[in-house]
Amino acid sequence: MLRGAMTRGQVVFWVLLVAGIVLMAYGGYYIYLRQTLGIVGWAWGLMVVTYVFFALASTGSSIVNTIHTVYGYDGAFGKYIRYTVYVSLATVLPAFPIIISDLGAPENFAWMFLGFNPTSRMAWMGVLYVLFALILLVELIAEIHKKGGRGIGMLTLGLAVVIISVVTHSNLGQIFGSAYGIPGWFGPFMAVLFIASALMIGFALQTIALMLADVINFGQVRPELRELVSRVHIKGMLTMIGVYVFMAFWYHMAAFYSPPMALASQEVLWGRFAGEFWGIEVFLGLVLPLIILPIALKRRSVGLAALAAFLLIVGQFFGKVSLTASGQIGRILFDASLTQKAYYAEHLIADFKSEFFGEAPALAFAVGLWLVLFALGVKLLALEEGEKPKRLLIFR
Amino acid sequence: MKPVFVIDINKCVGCRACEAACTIEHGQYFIISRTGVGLPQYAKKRTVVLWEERDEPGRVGRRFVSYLCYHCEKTPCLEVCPTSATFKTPEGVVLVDKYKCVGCRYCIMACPYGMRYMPSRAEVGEAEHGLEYLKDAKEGAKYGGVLFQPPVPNKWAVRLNVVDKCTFCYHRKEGDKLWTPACVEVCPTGSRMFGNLDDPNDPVAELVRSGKAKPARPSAGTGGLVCYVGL
Repeated sequence: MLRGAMTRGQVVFWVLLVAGIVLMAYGGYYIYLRQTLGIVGWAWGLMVVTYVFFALASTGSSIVNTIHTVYGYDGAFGKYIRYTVYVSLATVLPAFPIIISDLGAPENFAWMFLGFNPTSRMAWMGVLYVLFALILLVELIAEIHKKGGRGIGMLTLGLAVVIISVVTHSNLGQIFGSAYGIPGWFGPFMAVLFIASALMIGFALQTIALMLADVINFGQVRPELRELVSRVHIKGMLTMIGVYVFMAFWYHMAAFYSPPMALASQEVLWGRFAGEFWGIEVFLGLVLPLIILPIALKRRSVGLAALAAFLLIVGQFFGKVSLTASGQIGRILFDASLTQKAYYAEHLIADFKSEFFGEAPALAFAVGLWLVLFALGVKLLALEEGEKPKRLLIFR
Repeated sequence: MKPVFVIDINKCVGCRACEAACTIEHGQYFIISRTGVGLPQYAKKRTVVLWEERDEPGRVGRRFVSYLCYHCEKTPCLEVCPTSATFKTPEGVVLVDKYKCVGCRYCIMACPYGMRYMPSRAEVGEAEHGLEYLKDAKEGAKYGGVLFQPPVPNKWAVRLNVVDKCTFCYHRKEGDKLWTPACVEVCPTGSRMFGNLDDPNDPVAELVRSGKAKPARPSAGTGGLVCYVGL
């Protein structure tokens, strides 16, 4: 009966909104308990992975936008540019509450700025991330109020976005890269690996988000979106899968020249995370999309492309899980070998894993917040080409 | 003044009086049954004594190795701290300002020796669970048990939800005089020693100058104020 009373778009909108609110409530309760009971352990767990993932998705999506905003490729991109800029903005926002609630003492957060330490990548992340979100907001407002073609002002803004995106995500990579105590992360690899991953996630996220936006607002996928996804996003994902595989291969190869780093790499390739790596990251996240995407391209099917994009996103998320966890497990094994406490290592690793994966509800909060922001934004903001906002610069 | 901490492995009998003194000095509860489960990062204590078994031809036996923050000269934890909560005193002692630390644990990731940790609620005096231990200890004292009372809280005492590490008991420093850390004070065999590298007559500093006491892992390239004899 309900189905009969609502259009397809309305059903999708309400499903996303309600699912988002439920996930936020579940994750929010965990965050409340974490802060009030003080259950912050030493490890960087799923909350850090969630933060990294949303930051990569957002910067990746912004860089994808430059195909239109900087390089001037139009196709059907012009029709969807407000949506894709909004997707970047909506993706950057869930990372803020997650990383702040990951802190043991968020009440001291003001010292991130008051006691700014220029040698700390994390201090820079605080500044760059705020700047990145603000520039995205300015870009969204400019896109909505733009008159006529893309002048020098829009080009400059597009360039500013791409510069801040690359700097932010490189800095994010080097948060890991400058952790001297974790040999599996230390060095210049992370920023390089992260940019390939970011672009791949950016293409994939936009594919899913644009499909959902079309269904919410128009009840179906429009021909222009088929054109855009076929011309840009499917080819982008295919290209970036190749680039990512190349970089990931050399990351693991490099590990075997450094014994402490190899401990982390072994955990991924044939250790505790081999199942996630080969099963989810490689097979689900890379091999299946490689099979599905050419079919989607041939059939010009946005649905198939979105399926491949979803698998790719899941694979990349698990990739970040295994990268973050294996580095720290490699460290535990290395420490245990130095102190001749190898027999304790398994016990410590079990503790670490329960601490790491115990943060899963926070991921639910972030996904829920993204769903709510996305669904409300698509419904309430003036994101259609040529649409004039009526309230507060951006609202319908 | 440049303090230096020397640990003579050959003299350590593994009594863990140093661990007890340290935890009490900084507001934690010492639980004797909790044997060392690794470096301070995992054991959640500022200093630990680990038992190490040797089973090599001609060198079979057990020894006890103490671990604590090395107060590195090249300080990875200080470089990564986003709020400047980690800082170095003029003497080279690395400290954490508990009221600036946000608890991001980046310094734990950066420390190559595993010497920083997040305090456990169950072992910190200000926590509810800790009060239970204190009640038990008070009951025990009625029957002749010894009740260690935490000293007057100091600025560098353990706080929940922020990162903690060894301070060399910096709160004991008075003027320009060399002070004695709590663990050194209680060590029954003199395995733990504290000296002044700038003092030419200091016997502890002489161990370092003569090369008898050496840094733990020179390959890590951080230098530091802690050296070992017989490692």
